[in-house]
Amino acid sequence: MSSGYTKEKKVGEGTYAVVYLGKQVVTGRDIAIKEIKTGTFKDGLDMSAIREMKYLQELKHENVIELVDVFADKDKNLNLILEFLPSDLEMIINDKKIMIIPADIKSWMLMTLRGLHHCHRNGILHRDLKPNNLLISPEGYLKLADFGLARSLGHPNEKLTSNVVTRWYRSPELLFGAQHYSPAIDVWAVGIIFAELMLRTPYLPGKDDSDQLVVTFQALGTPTEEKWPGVSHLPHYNNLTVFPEPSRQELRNRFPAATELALDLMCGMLSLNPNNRLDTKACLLHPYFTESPEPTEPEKLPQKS
Amino acid sequence: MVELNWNNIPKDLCPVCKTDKYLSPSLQFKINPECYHKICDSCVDRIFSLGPSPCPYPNCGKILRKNRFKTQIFDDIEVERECDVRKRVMAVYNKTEDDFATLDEYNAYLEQVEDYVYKLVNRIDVEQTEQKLKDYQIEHKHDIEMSNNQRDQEHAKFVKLQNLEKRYRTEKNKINREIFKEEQNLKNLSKTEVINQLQTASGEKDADKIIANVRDSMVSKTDIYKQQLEELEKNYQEEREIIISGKDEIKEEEKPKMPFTPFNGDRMPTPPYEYGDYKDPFLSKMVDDIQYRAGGYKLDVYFQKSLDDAFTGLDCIIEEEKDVADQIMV
Repeated sequence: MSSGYTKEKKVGEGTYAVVYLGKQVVTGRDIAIKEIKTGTFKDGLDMSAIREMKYLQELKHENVIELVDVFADKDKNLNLILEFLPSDLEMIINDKKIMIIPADIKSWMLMTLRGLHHCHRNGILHRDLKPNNLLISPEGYLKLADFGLARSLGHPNEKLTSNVVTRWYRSPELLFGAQHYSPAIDVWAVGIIFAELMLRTPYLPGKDDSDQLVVTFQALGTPTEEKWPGVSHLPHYNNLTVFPEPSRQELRNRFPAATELALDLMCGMLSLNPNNRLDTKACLLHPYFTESPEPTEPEKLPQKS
Repeated sequence: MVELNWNNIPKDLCPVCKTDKYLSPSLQFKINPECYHKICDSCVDRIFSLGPSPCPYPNCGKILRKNRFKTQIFDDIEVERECDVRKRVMAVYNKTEDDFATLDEYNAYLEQVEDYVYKLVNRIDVEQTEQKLKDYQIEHKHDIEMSNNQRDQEHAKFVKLQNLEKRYRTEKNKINREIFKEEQNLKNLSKTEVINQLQTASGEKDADKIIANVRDSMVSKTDIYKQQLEELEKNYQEEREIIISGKDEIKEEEKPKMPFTPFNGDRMPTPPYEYGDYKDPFLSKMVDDIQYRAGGYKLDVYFQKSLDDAFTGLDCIIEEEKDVADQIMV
């Protein structure tokens, strides 16, 4: 293979790419090779591949997956060389042998928010945050990955598709079909991941798109025109069952291990009205991160057994 | 069935459920310091799980609680009782010799404590003595707590010292073993080496010199180990001093910590541009639409991004970066 990388074994196959494990010959560093399938699409390359390349090239951060190299091989297949990250947060949440302590959750949240802040700071929306896409390096560092749905914050007259983000992590404005949304949709997803880390089971598992709305509002209350001006004008808004907003005590019962500040932060990220939702900056400056216990150092975080 | 004689209960029988220790070896007896009547474990569970109940022995009538039940340690119930009484009295009268000015005062104090214990054990003036105990406890509440704390601290110090000593001993043994091994080795080796060197040496004159040389090298190796041993001893003494003087706790607190930085450096506190109240009537009008407002779209973010984009490249000198990149490629 060209350019000094070796392919060792196939580890996965997606709709538009095959992923191999490999090594960088010069440094001996482990890497992942994403070989984009060509020919299956009439109009050249798949959109996701282009998005991934375009945005990862611009981002370089401790908590964002590193795009090492891009090249085309002799079969004209496009290869993305990515940092090798063997584990992800979903594996850890599902591995019942692992015990997660509050300091670990804080550490993962901190790394997720730092990575996301870096994206938003550079005007990039991730649009597919879920535990499965938060990869973990052998040293314990969490990194945002899979930028196949990412896009940059566009000109106001551009219409964005609301059909993004895996259903369980989709924010209410997306569920209502909003076409002009903001980075707040990513913050919502992080809030759901925060809840999932504490519960160790998905927080709002809707069976389909309409069920997702019901589940979301059951847990967090139905938004009203009062609390969220203009919500009834969004495309998919129609008569909803009205659920009351949960009381603080109900939330405490649902999250018995969470401290008051942790609940504060979570509620801030899970504000139904995107205009009131915290942005990444406000999240990182939240006192939750400075209260005891300190976030666990990445090296000491639980790893997949 | 023969009625049980409650005044003479067989040693291995639970008088409540009549289970025999011989037939069920897992049987465990429990007693309660209220009356010291033995009852088996499962009966305790059965009778007292739902809250305090009277003792099942006839004519006892004491109200017992489950959490006070314990396993009997001494065969003689009187010894058991004395130990309990003593423990209770000592928890209140917990002064040490250092708390008294003279030895006589301390002895008088001990005498008094023994007096109380004797009275309680032999059931003389029980109520009076209990009252005195209670009064003393209320009066000296603060002192008692202080004494307790001190004892806890002393105990913690003792444990620390013990750990240190254990570590020190294993290290010392290890080095000593090494020294011994080395000496053995060299004894054998030096002989062969002396012979070898004597064989290769030319004149007979050198013989004494060679033997001395070999001996020197042998000694120097054991010297290194001895030095290590000395160092270990010194460190041990130092650490011991620190623990005894109680300085180690302060040391832990003073340990410098990396301050927490939420952004870990990934933030531009002061943007390179001034972003006043810039208005774009066309865009403002467009974004004022309900669809934009309800979706959470913010024009400010767009303006900021545009400005960021415009300023991003300002600090980069492409030519310089090109040179570096060329070097990497080569």
